[in-house]
Amino acid sequence: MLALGSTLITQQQQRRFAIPALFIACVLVFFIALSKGGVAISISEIIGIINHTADDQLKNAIIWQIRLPRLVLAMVVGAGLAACGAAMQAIFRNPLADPGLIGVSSGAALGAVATIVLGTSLFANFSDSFGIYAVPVGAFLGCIGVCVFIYRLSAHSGQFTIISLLLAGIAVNAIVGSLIGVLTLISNDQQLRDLTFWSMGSLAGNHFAMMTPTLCIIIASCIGLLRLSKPLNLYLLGEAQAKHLGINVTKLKKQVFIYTALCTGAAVAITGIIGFVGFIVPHIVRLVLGPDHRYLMPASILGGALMLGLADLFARTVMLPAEVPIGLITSAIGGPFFLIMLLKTYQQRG
Amino acid sequence: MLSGSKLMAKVGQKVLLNNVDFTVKPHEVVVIIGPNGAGKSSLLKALCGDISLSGGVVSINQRTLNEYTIAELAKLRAVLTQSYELDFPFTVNEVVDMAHFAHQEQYSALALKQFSHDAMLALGIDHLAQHCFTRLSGGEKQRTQLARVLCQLQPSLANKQNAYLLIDEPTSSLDLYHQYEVMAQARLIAKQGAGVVAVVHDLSLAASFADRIYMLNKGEVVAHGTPEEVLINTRLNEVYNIDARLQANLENVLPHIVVAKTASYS
Repeated sequence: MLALGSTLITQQQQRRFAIPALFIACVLVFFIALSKGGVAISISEIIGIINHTADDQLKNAIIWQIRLPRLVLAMVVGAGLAACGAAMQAIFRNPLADPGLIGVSSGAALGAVATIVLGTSLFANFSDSFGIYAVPVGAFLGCIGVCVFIYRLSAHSGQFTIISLLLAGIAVNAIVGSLIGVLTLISNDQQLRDLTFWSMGSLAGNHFAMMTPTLCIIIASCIGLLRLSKPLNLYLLGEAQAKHLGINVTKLKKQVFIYTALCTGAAVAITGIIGFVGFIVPHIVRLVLGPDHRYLMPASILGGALMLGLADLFARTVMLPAEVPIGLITSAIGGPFFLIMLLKTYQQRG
Repeated sequence: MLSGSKLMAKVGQKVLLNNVDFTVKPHEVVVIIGPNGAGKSSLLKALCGDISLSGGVVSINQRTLNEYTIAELAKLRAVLTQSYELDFPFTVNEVVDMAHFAHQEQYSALALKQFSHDAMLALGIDHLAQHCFTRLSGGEKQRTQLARVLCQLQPSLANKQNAYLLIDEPTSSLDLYHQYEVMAQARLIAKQGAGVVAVVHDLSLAASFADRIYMLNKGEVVAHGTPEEVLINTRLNEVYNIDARLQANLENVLPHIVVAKTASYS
């Protein structure tokens, strides 16, 4: 950061080139990820398959049924998580903040675990009516439910302060954690295995019909967050200061809260918990491009797509034919990164 | 005119403001003084619309604050507060540019850039434009923030509209040179047509730069008028509990407060 901060001319150049460069990188990763795997498919074949001009049935099926849905999901979820991470770090005015603070992860986990464990007994009706969608729908409902609860707790008497949001988030996360513990305790072996894998996150086994609602919600939320870039910059000055500059701060906080809850909820519901993308990507982007959200937000979206696209490529090719849960990979990269960031922050503050 | 009439505010049972009347006109610098806990900052926050009043109204240019939207208010008044929490590495130029938000619909990006440039030039920080805000000294940070509020007011001042600058203890963390520097800038901004309200602790500083002074004690205005009228020996004794008087009208010396030697001070 020090080296980058002192040569700001390059930072402006970096800003200009970063977004096109990230976009090109995303396109490259997109095609590489489609071609790699158990069956290698060349780029020219892929273009043929996407244009519906190739007639190799097997390869057609691999691309359209397996690799493309999965890759699109990975990239969109990565983009959404990174955008939400950037927005949360701005709203909490703290570069270590994470969407988990407002209960998205714990809420989704509660919903998913409840559906897995109680799906055959208490929630039999729910499981029957949603079939294979029961766990994602349960996770999404759990996420939104917990977020609404935290929101109501922290938004009393017209105020919506960040400190009350943080405290409510911590308390509710603890309560939800204990509920998940109780459900885990009463689960049987198969359920335990299911919920363990859910909590490690996976992008596998989704087809376009199932993903469409998720993709729509994430894309809409990302557009919403992109439009808040300028107000978020001013918000970093302080709440009173942002208000004096002409921003409706309460409305801004509510908008960010809603977009983040919807976006992360939709992502977590279908993929399980994929940690650290929302934290690392905005961080790296901020180190390179500075804190201006007009650059930070789009670059984080592209960076998130790039990172999760790459992580997924790694997850499904490194141990062929088995695959590593993607949450393990992002956390394995994210954990050490988090520690390094923390140590650097302490060193800077002396 | 920015005015408050019969302002009342309290937190729980504690009265912050009790029946306070206040006015500031364009082109003048009005300073609010008073001992700790007198309600100086509360009065300034009430004038900004940051605290809810239990009575009285604040109005700007004959309309009450409630009749303005947040965005409209931002065009009419800028506020410089005591502390800034900015922990993110924005450049000085970016911080000053934040003032554009309220004006971005009426002005082109080029015109707004010019306002930023003028403001930075006026505060003598144009050479710092590309420096990182978080690594500036206290004085440079304060001047950057002052440039930002100046930039926020410039479009209105250029159009000869009445605009106001409210400053909450701008000098609390600054050395003597920068204290006078900041207040001199506030004077210059008033000269351009803004009405300036400043909360100041230092009575000498207040006497040097104020056209009028409001002295607060326990939430009430105990005196208001020119520095000579307000800062008289008996009142300073009553309110601040010090035996002091104002020395003004000296050649080549700004007005200042002299405190008498008493047993406990020597």
